Amino acid sequence: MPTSTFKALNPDDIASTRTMLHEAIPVTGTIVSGTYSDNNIKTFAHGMFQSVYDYPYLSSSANHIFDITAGFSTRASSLSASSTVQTSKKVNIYNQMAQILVGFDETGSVRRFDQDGNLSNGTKIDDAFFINFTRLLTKDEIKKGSFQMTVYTGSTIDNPGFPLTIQDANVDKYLTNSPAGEYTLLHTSSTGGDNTSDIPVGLLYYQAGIAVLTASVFSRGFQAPETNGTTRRRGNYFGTVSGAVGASSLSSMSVSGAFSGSTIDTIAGGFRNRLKNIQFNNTTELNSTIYFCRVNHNEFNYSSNATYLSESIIRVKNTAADIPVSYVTRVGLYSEANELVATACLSEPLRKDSNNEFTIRVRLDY
Amino acid sequence: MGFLDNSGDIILDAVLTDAGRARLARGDCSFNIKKFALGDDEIDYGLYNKAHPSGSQYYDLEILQTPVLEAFTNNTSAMNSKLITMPSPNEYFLPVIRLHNEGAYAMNSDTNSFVVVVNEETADFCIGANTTGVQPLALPFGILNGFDPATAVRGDGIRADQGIDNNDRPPTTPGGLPGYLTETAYFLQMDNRLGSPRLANGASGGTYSYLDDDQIASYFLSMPPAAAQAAELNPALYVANIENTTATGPIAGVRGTRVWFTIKAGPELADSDSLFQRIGTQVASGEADITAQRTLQTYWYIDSTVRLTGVNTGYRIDIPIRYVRKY
Repeated sequence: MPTSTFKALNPDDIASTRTMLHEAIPVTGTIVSGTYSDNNIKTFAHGMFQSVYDYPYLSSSANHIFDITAGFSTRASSLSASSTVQTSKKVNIYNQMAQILVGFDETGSVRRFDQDGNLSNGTKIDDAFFINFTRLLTKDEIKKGSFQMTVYTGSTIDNPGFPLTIQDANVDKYLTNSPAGEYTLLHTSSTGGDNTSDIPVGLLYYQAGIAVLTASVFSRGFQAPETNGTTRRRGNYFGTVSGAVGASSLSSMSVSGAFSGSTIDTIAGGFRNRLKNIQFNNTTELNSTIYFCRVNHNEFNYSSNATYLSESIIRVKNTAADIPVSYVTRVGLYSEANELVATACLSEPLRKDSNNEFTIRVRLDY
Repeated sequence: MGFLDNSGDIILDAVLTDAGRARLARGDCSFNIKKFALGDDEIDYGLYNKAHPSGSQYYDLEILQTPVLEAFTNNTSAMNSKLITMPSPNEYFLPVIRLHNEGAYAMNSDTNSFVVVVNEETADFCIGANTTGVQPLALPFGILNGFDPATAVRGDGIRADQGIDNNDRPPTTPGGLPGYLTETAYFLQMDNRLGSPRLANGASGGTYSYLDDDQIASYFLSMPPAAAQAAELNPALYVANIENTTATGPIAGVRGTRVWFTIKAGPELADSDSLFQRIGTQVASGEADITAQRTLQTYWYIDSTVRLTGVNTGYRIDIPIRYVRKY
């Protein structure tokens, strides 16, 4: 056995694995409408969407968490016909989202969002809110079955009640006919009101991290259990938030009125005012390579540490017959040219002598 | 870097180094892990108490309590001391590398480093000639000609010997240093912006093995097999066998090999003072000496190190280098 400070890794010492890592992401509604007096809401001169941050966005500590926008198709059934404000921008938003998330039909036309995912026929979602979560939150994808959003559907504009929970409860059912990956239908937490047949109220694109919510979620009468004993509400309540940060005003308005006569910013403000919370689990796909660093009993028992020797004599020995002892605190992984490309530290020193041997498992995640 | 939590199970904190990330980013399959090494950078073996009154179980009590830092991502900052595999468990003496620091090969005593003058004007200044354009006749000990190391006034270079530095194993010990403890090759690492190694005769000894993202170049200095018995003072070799040398040197006991090299300053130092302005220090006239013969002048300097590591045993020394340029 030659003297060496390195040990070659054999093919058997290297393994590749894949692990799904999930994090819980809670977003409380007060963050998007109140906690920071809207200083965490960024609007743009083009007025096509609002960005929500988890802290006033002028701070370097702020993280962009999601965007809110809204749009409609140009079909007669949509609100585009009655729209008087930012009509083309709302159409552009709808078409942009649709072409990315739903794709094109055989004629090359952009498909519309479909209520039940059957693109060939059925009811379409022509007026929609879009909630685009950032990659910081969704990572590789939203975990299936974990998404839950609660919106207020009550009639009081400045303090709306009657929360309605929207979720992707049916974990096993997801669709694959989108060019943006897997998606599912969003349902309310319970059927009732006008929604006796549990009509889907939106779509959730897992990998894209985008929730599409039909505008009519604020106009249908959904059963919305509340603590005050009222279990059912009908109406068409939405309201809008407009004006400068810190001086914004609420206006009583139906959701159809907002889509027709308000800017996207104003609609997004109204949606924020109606948002109670969002929660989901994200998924990070960790591809790992595991290096099994096998240390045999007769290996790595000496050290080149400058303190190991005193006048060239090994400090941990009294006589030559004593067993050599060393202590491991680090593992280095090297290229063929001895370049250190990865390093790992043990949380405490590990004694190594000729009476023991071990395998240190170094996992590199990509 | 913080300390790792050592209150519970042993955890392993693994990261790619900056060099590893750079290789990964190249996308040319150059990120290829082929071997591993174990390190003990944090360990102070001086804490191993062989006289602990409670017995041998307690000898390493303090060592095992050593807190360990999080993994460094700088590839040159981690794994400074490695564990060694040796064929015999009965070693009592291990070789070290010692710098020649006496006589013609001594460091500059004013700066406790090897001074590399980066241009002729600076050399004149060090000699005290103070006459630009006049070839210096001789450089004082510890000062190396970094602008033209192939000339006769290149300086005497830097030498380091390997062996057992203990009189109990004198150079005449039968059998000398076992082959498996003899370094026949060394890694030399230095900042590539500042300079590069040259053979002691000033000739180029080859290019670096690799250059990392921090501009640290690694050279592989080896002893040609045919030169295993080469004369110890052969300036055309980086590594020479000195096992039969009994002359007084930095190694008190049996010897293995000797490394001998000089340094050529990088062009960025020789041609301008921009690098000196960024990472150097200016010394005003009269504030500090370089040599006893100096003419007091304002000058720039950059302090750096050259790391020499034995390939076999992993033993290393850091050699202080000061690059000097006359203002």
